[in-house]
This record gives sequence, C-alpha cells and structure tokens, in this order.
Amino acid sequence: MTVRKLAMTGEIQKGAKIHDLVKAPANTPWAIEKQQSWDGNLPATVYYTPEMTSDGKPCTAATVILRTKGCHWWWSSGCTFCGYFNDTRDDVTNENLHAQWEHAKKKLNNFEGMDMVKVYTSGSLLEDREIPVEFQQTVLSECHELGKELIVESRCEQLTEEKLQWATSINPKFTVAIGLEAYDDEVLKFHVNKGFTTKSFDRAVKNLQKFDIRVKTYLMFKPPFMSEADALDHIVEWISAVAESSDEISVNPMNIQRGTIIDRLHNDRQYRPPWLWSLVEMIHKAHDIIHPDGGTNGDEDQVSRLIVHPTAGGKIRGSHNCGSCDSEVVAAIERYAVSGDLLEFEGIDCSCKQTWREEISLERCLPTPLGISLPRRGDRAKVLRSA
Amino acid sequence: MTGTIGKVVIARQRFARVWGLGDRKSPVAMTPALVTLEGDEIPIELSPFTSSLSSQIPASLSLRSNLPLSPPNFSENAPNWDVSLGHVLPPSMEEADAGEKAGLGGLLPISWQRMNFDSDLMDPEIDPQIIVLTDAPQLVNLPGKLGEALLTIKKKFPQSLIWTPGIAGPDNLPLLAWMGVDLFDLSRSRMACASNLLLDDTGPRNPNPELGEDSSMNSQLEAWRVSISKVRSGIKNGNLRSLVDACVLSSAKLVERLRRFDNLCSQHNGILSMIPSGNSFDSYSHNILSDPLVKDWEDFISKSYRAPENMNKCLLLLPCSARKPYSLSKTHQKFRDATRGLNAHEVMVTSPLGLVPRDLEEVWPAAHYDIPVTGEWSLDEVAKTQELLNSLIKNNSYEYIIDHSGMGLEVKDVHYIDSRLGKSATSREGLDQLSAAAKQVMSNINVPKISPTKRKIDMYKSVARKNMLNDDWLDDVILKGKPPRHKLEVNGKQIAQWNLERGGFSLAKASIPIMEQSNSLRSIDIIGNEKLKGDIHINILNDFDKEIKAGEYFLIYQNQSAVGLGRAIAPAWEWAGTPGALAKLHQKL
Repeated sequence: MTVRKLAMTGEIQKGAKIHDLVKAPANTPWAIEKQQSWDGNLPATVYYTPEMTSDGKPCTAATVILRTKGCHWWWSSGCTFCGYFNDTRDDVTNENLHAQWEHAKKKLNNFEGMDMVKVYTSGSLLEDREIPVEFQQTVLSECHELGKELIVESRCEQLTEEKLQWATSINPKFTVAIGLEAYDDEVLKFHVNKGFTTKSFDRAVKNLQKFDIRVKTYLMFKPPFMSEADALDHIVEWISAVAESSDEISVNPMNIQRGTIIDRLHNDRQYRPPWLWSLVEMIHKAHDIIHPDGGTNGDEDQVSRLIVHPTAGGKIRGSHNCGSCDSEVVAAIERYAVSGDLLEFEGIDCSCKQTWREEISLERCLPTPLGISLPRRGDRAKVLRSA
Repeated sequence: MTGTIGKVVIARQRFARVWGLGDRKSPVAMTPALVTLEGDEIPIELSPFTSSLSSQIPASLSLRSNLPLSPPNFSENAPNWDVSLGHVLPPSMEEADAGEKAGLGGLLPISWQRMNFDSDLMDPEIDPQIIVLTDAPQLVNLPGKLGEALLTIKKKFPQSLIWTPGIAGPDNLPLLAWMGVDLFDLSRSRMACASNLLLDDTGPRNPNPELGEDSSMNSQLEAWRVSISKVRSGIKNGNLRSLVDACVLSSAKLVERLRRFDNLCSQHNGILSMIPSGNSFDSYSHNILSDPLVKDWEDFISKSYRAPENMNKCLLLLPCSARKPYSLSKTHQKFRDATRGLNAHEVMVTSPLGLVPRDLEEVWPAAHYDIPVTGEWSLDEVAKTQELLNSLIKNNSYEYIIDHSGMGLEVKDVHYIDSRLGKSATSREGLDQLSAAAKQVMSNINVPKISPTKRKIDMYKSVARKNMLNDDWLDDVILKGKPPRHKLEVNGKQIAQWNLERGGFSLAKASIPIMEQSNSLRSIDIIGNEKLKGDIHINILNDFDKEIKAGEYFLIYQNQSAVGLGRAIAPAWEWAGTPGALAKLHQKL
C-alpha cells in the first residue's frame, strides 16, 4: 500500500524504519575505513579505575574493552543510541581475542593489585555468535583462577539456564551487567529499539539469581526522542522496578557518540544531553528507593547500589549545566556513587537551577514530546531570542 | 470526547485571522489567544482554553474550554478533548516513520513526521477544531520547515485553529499570526522569568527597575496582552505586515523565517488579495521586497504584461510620486505637460513594485503602496527594476525609450534617451530635457494618436488582463458617464462600472452571459436546484477555482449554467473548510 503524503514535496514513499536510520552511519565510508584500520590483536582500551567490590570495599578495577565483531543485535537492527560500531571489526578471530587478552594482562601486570576485572566486548561476552566459546572460557576461568571479581556485559537472550550453568561451572561467582536501558516496553521498543522486552529481562534476572550471579542493570537517562522531563520522571519508576532484583543499578546519562543517530539529532539541535541538575534530582528521588530508611551505602537498609557516571559530564556532548557549576555537580554525583550519601549535594547551587526547574516544569505540561530544551550556556537574553 | 467550536472569522489578512469563538452572533472569545498551562494564571478573556498532559509514554493531551464555545446551546464550558500524542520522531529524521500514530479527532496533534506518513490525515471526514504542531520547537531549528508545515496545514484544514506550543512570545507573535498560528502559550515568557528577563515585543531583555519594570509573570503577561491587542488590530486594519516587518528585527532567525515563508507563499496560488486590505500597502521595510504580493506583481509584469494597443512604440520611464494614483500628483501633471502630444507607454519606476505601467496605476497594490522616499535606491531595488525592464522591452516592440527615472537603468538594442542627465525630474532643466526628448521621438517615428476614450478602454483592458482571465469581455464596450466612474456598456446595457476606490470593476447582472461566453472570470460550482440567495459558504459548494483571490469576481454555476456573480471575501486557500461567508453574492439571474 502506498502511503499518501500530506502535500509535501517529492514522491510518496513508505517511511523507513528507525533502525534503518540508526544503522546508516555504520555503512558510511568513514566508518568502514575506521573499522578496517583497527589492529585485531590489540584491545580497544585497557585502563583501571577506583571501584568498590561487591561487599562494598574500595578497590582498583581493571577495565578491558576488547575489539570484537560487535553485537549480534546490531547486525540485524541495533539500539538507537549505540556507537559501538565505531570500535568493532567484523573479522576478529578467536586468536585475535586471545592476543588482545594477553596484551591487556601484560599491560596491567596480570591485574596485580586489582580486585576486579571488567571485560567488555561491545556486545555480549556469553553470545557464541559474537565471541568464540573458547575465549569465553578463557576469560571466565582465568579471572576465577586469579581470584578477581569478574564483570561481563550481556543482552538478555543469552542468559539461559543452560548457558549460565556452563558459565558458573567455570567461574562460580561473577557479575553480569545487562543493558536494560528502560523498564518500559514502550520505551524499549520506540526510543531504544532494544529488541527485547521487560519480560525477557525478568526472565534473565531470574536465571541469574538461580545461579547466584550478581546482577548489574544499566538504565539510560534520556534516550533519544524523549524530553528531559519524561526522562526524569520515568527513570525513577524504572529504578524502583529493578532495584530489588539488581545488585547494582548503573544509570548512564546519554552522551553523544560520533556517527550515531543521536549525533545527527544533536547537530540539528533536536536533542540535548541531560542537565546535571536532572541527575541530581533523579538521585534525590531514587535515594528513598535505594535506601528506604535514609541510610547510605553499606548500611543495612541498602536495597541496591545506585551508580551514576556522567560520561563527558560538563561537556556539551555529555550531561551539562550552564558551564560554571558543572565540575562541582559532576564531582558530587561521582561521590554519591561511592557513598550513597545525599549530603554530597549539600550547599551546591547555581542560578541555572531555576532555568532547569522551569524547563522541566514546562515540559511536564507542554504537548511537545521531544521537549523544548534550549542551549544552557551563554548570554540568556541571546539564548531566549526567538528561534 | 468530540465536539465543535462555534467560530466565525471576524477579520483576515493573508493567513492571519481574528476568529470569534462561541456563538457566532456574539462571540465570547477571540484569537490570537493563549492556552493556559499548569501553573499559569491568565485572565479568561485572553485564554479560552486550558491544556494538561498525562505522564505516560506516549503522553495524552487534554484540552478544556474555559468558556461555553460549543454549539448549538453554548450552555457549558465545552468542547473538551483528550488525545494521544503518539510517538514523535524529530523532523530531521523525516525518512522514518515512528509507527505509533497520534489520535484523531477535534483535537489533532500533528508532527512533521505525521504529515509525511499518516494517511489518516487525508481522510475527508476528519474535522479538526484545534491542531497542535507538537514538534514546533524542533521545526524552528530547521530552515523553512515551520513555514512549510504551517502552510500545508492551513491549506488542508483551513477551518482549524493552530497552536505551536513552546515557541511563541510577544516578540514573534505578529510573525506567527501572519503564518497562520492562532493559539500561543506563555512557555518562553516563563523561561524568561526564570532568567530574570522580560520578554516583550522587542525580545528578551533586562527590565529597567528604575522605570518600574520587572520580570514577574504579571509583567510578562502584560507584554502578551499588548502584543495580542496590536496583532488583533493589525489584522482588522489590514496592516499586520507592518507589525511583522517590525517584529522580525528582534532576531535574525525571524527575518530568515519571514523571507523563507514569503518565498514559499509566492509558489502557491489562492493566497493573495486583490483588494486593498487596509488603507495602504505599507512598504517601510526592506523585507517587503520578498512579500508574495510584490512577487506576484513582478511575475505578472515580467511574464504576462503587454503594453496597451498602439502604445508600444515609445516607452517613457518616469519616477513615481507619493500621491496615488500618480496621475493625480503635481509632478505627473508636469510630466504630462512636458510630453504633450507623445502617445508614449508611461511606466513608473518605483519600489517595492519595480515598474508600474500607467494603465495599472489605479489597481491594488499600485494605487495603495506607501514607501519612504529618500531619492536613493538600494542595489536590490535597482537590480529588480532592471530585470523587469529587460522583460518589458523583450515582451514589447518599443523603438524608443525615454528614461526620466534617474535610476541609471541600462538599455540595449533600443534607441535610448536619458532625459534627466543628472538633473532633478521636475526642475526646469529636467522638464525641458524631457520635452526635447519627446519632440525628438515624435519627429523620428510615427506614434499613432488615440482618443482619451480609447486610451481609457485600453486601460480597462489592461486591468482586466491583470485581474481577470482575459479582456475579451471588453471587445464591444463603449464608455458612458464621467470619469473616473465610467459606465461600461454593451448594446446599450450597462455591464460594469469603474470603481476607483477598489481599483477595479463593479460588474452588473448584464455582464453574466458576456462573462460566460468570453470565459473571462474564474468560476465556482454550487450544489442543488434552489435559487441562489445570501452569502456563498462551504455547505453549498460543489467545486471552486483554487486560484481565487480575495476580492476577485467569479461566475457562479449551478447545474452547468451560469446563475450569478460573486465576489470573494476569502482567498481560495480558505474555501476547503472555513465556516461562515466565503464570498458575497453580487448578481443573480
């Protein structure tokens, strides 16, 4: 059936699906050239950061981001915000992956002095189509043998009883981080194009719990095509929905990665990363869920651990405020992820907070599903001039 | 919940309208008006509607009437609507379809994406009362898109009120109204208030407390009240364009939007008027050069215009005069004296219209424009006039051109005489030079003399070619009566009279068969067999010419026979749905 077009120019055509647009940048010459430029024997990144162990002890964590074939969901469709295609190479072999692993261990002295190792693959470590089983086994077994807390990432569909039984037979205690993004099927479908539902997530979590595997849930703050107010109001509901079943909840505020659809919208001034004030507000609202008795991290009342790490915080392509208060607010958010203490935000204020508050208030009553978000920096009189 | 709003157009100019809402006989509210959002305190006379939003995804919009607006009883505050906004993709992703449609009904949410892919919008049964352009804040960031969206909506749903949430302020209200937006909100004013700024008709600025100003919402609302009042008056008085030209200067983006919208409108028919919409066509701003009315004039002069018969040997270019029609001015009296005996084709060089032939000097907008006279021309004005002159020369067979305009125009391949030579147009030397040039032409070529009556008929024919489909209906006409209100007769029967105030003809009943035979007028077709009476409105329309301008005469057909003459109140874009009178019945058989 031909879709009739309302007096617009050009031929009447059926609309493309969102994922066609999402994937388009990956097929551009610059993206293909970039993929081919990677050395398959070298990991994408290896670094270490301060962290907390599962029992709340401060530690150092190694992060190994491997150069892989990427995510099988991307091969067939893809999440709207995903920029991982920038880091993948579609001919990576088992030998390549082992070479990368050896390189990482060598670089970090066999993870000496580090209690935790995070192994990220721009996809799912336990997905056989993406990662050869032999390499999965290497990571699981070596981390277990080295006595390191292992964290891997996965989509839901891989987390079957069968797979987890196999994995725990090699490494009985590790953490699986699931990129859920939103506990809302409507958002998963339209805003994120996630390719699974909350039901899949619930099933995966049940399986993980059955094998006593720790659950880390990623939620996304302000996915594409969503206003700031919707993002703020709904993420608190999602945190509440997953808190009981997640050992950790990591909220990822959207940042703009090159070549993604979000990058395109950002360039067209149709998407702006979250306000840092929204993250602070989210933390205040979610704190009662995480600590029902008003405690802090490590206290008896802790239901889960809430981590918020604003990637590129304070920059235009990350969560940001007016420019003058950003570093202070980012630091407080980072501190909260460790302490779980709302006192981290005590005394932090700025004149831009009033602007943020009004913007949120307006987005809650204006019929503008994509929001109204205006630039936050520079002379306000100029910013507020009619566009 | 569905329902209709009782509404009537109180005044109109181009796409802007003052709607009376409620009982048409005594409306209780008018547009442009505000929609109250949660947290707003707006007096009811400024805000006939209140809006609220649900928190689910996708959200649902509720719009409640604050006054009894719903016919037939107007007994309670109604209508009220609830509608899903659906999923909306940003307009820059126009290739994609979100899939989840917004709702349909009296309250109709529309986005750029929906306009591209939702075939439900083409359903002839839908009758939206209020249309909400839900991605307006994103559309304003894409050049030309807001105008394109609005023009498309206006032409498809001329009966609907339009709200562009999140983008309006007292600073851009005239432009948005000009583009056809009826409903607005305080969101930008609230953002200004949050930044301690006052958003008034000049844009956001720091208030001056020493003069009692502040940035409170009361002050913001007062700025809205003033701006709404000015816009309503502007539409009623026909001078909204002047307000628009002034308001856009508060932001480069607004100037850009106005010019893009002007260009877009120039590509569409059935938008303009051929009657004076106010006392004058105010042309005080450079932006007026892009007005579709000016473009329409230029288009006619460059492509269709031909000099009257027997007047195409010598072109006389003259400066314009402040007084209109030019012939009534003292300066043109002097030019006439200086060129007595020369039957030249007189064409005035002017701005913003470029060139105005004498034979069209009494029609809209040539007889009504008003421009500041500095004696200096901008490069744009010179370029446009030169372009029109080149077309005029190409489309006619002039042998001589006397240029008394002083604009420094260039002419090739035709004998050219500059009669100014740096002198003032009305100075003794200038007039002597003009007189000498006329004599030189008369001695070199044979310019046939024609009687004043013939000249007048030629003028009427020229007007007919400009404002009607052709001048064939004037072939056998003779003039009776005294100028300027000549009666035009055929076979002893008056078929028309010249109306100087309107710059056009008043057609008599006897003209109907002649017009039908000569096919000189656009036409409409009405339904039924009942004898025609009263105004023309949508309920009796079967079909209509999509190029009808406001003020234009047309033939009325019923059962394939011409049964009368009407004159349009509204231009054709409104005829697809606007309630109330679209045209007046002027003559019927």
